[in-house]
Amino acid sequence: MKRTQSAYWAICCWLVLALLGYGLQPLVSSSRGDADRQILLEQALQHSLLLESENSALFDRQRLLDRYLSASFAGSSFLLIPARMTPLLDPAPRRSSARLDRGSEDGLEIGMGVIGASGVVGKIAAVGQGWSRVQLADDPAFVIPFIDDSGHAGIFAGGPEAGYGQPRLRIDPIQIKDALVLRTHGGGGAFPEGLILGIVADARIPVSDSRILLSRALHTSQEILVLSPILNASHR
Amino acid sequence: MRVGWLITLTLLSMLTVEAYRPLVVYSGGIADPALIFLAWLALIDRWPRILLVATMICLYRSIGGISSVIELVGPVAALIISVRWFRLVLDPYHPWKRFQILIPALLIAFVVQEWLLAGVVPGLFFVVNGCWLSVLVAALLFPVLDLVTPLLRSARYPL
Repeated sequence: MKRTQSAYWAICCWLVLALLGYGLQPLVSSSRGDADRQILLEQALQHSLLLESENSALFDRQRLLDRYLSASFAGSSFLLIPARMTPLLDPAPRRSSARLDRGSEDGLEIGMGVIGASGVVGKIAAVGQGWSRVQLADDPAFVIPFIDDSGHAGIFAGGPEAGYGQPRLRIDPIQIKDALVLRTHGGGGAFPEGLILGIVADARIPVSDSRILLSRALHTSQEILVLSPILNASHR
Repeated sequence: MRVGWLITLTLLSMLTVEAYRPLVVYSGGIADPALIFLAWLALIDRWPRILLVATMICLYRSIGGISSVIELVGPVAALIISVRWFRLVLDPYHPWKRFQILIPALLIAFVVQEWLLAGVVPGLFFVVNGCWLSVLVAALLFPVLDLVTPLLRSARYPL
């Protein structure tokens, strides 16, 4: 009887610890979010991106469409499908995903690129009727080619922490340094060239240990655009 | 096979993962309370009960997620097989030696997970980081799990 009582007490303590963890989560995420925002702000100042990031918070769906439609890359090879993205905690702790309010009825397909006001958001990972799941750019399995300001190419991979990525491979001899802005390469067919991917927040040796800060809006509810290749559109 | 409390404990471990998610992500997924619970069970419990918990963890993580089946099953299978293999040479009932089973098994599961997920072997920084965090989580979780053994109603747990 005494051992059984101890077991119940142990389970109660475990439950309290778990609930305590839930209680502490907002504190941890807010302090870390503030630090991230501070880093992004500093980097943005150096690269004259401040205006862009301030405006990005104000973009609604129409302004987002106008912005990318006016850009030279958008109209040529991709259809822009607007959708609403809602952040979602993936049940697997290492994965990073979100949900869209549009799905296969709008022509969304697995592998299509997703962009927001601040640049790359992720790729479509699963599609159904009226919904789809986005693999966010900080997911460890998210891999795309990137270029720096000089056009030197490399391979970007998401993770290992939420909100960050890392340069997995240098194709050209890029010098990874703090505050370097990385953009999409255009290869792979999911994203056009020149979209902002992230900023190097912490350059390290080896290069693959460097940390790339992604858009701070990655895990927030926002209007996004799905990039549907024109080739697919002509088939429909 | 009485599984009522086993299911409750599995759900509690998954609740703990969600509660301490930032810590679990920071450790690269090594200090995962659900996997540590599974490893503790795999130390001495019977195969059907181990497989039940493993299935519950995989099912929960597959519903509504973007992980493929192999990405979910691979690390869990690696963990169970490693624990069962290491317990052939180390005493799983010993309070300290079981950590020598748990930590290498978690590391193997971590390497398998990263290889399946990102296609790379994790760097030393994350291995070290994940190791001390998993020791910390296991040191907190194992005494609690030892206390709940009367509820599991199995002769495998010493009274």
